[in-house]
Amino acid sequence: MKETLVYFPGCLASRKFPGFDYSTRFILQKLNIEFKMSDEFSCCPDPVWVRSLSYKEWKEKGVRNLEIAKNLGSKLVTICNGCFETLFTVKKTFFNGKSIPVEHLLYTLWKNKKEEIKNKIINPLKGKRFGIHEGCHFKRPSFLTLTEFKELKEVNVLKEMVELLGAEAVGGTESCCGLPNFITDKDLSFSLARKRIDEFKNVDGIVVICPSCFSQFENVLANDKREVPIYFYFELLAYSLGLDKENIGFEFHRIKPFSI
Amino acid sequence: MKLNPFFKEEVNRELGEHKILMCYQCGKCSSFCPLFNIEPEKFNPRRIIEMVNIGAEDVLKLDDIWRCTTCYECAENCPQKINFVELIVYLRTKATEKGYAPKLPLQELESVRKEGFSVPLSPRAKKWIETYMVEVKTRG
Repeated sequence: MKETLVYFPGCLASRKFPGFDYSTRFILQKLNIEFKMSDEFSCCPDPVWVRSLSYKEWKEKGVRNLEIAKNLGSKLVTICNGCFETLFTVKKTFFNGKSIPVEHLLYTLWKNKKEEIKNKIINPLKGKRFGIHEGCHFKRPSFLTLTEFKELKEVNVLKEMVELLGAEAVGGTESCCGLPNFITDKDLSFSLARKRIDEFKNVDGIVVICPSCFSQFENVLANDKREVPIYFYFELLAYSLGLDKENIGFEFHRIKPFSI
Repeated sequence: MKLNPFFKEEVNRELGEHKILMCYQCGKCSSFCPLFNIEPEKFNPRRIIEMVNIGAEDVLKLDDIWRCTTCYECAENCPQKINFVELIVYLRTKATEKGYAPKLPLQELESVRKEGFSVPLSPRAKKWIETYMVEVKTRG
């Protein structure tokens, strides 16, 4: 039986950067992946502030989202590290692991669709050099994630997936972008992001897999009047698979992308 | 600084017996913490654990506990496997109950309560979705 994915775009990708959501749906269709969504989903909720301010509500809403997903398909996929952290942690903590499997879509595609993507690339990104930023919660906390995604211990999935598109990938830290404390200590938050961004030298842009990291890096760069484009990985993948540039949603970027 | 042994007991009871007490103050959490490495006076995980372990309930009033980004560098590198993020979440929850939570994070919680989402849908995004989200255009 063909697997049906439950696609959970999350708040930022569906309400602030709709191009992220659009690019992802394009990718899923292009790769003939059957997927379902639900208008009943709420915020995952946010693993930093909602969890910190009202642990009970964080748990209840997370459980509710997983219960909805369970009835729609066989695996839930997210395109946000925060959504992944919440839903995966809720599943591991409150369902004794026995709920619908939860994966970050980057991992799902890396695990199952690398060859197919390679064969379907129309617009390769040859000659481009990207700094890659995985963000904290793609594989943290590792005492939870590595019990299921053992390969992540050895493999840099984002690097492989950027190189799959024909580009060069440099860096690859799993370090923090600083977004969470933007609302409690902006100076410290921005200092952290600057440190991260400055690690990348001579790049055509920085590729991220989390809308929060994207938002944080863009805000810092716009604030500092620096022009380093930030790309959400699924935008680049959609472009490589043939999505027209004008439909990617680049108009929601604060730093205009170079021509790709 | 007032010390309250019941506070220490309460934290240990909630997070698992002796979990936080296993800390031997080696400071690895702080040495790996990206915030400590930028401004050590603003955020020091080792010091927060120390305050809890001596029963310094005033830790709940510190701005410091609201600066943690929950990146897990501390927990990933703790030789005693203490989950500092779990402690921060607990301290913030207690501080919120006592009315010490800062305003902006509370606004996000309110938005999730009222709208179901942490981010408002901007008119610009709404228009874009109505224009483009109908069908996915392909080339080639």
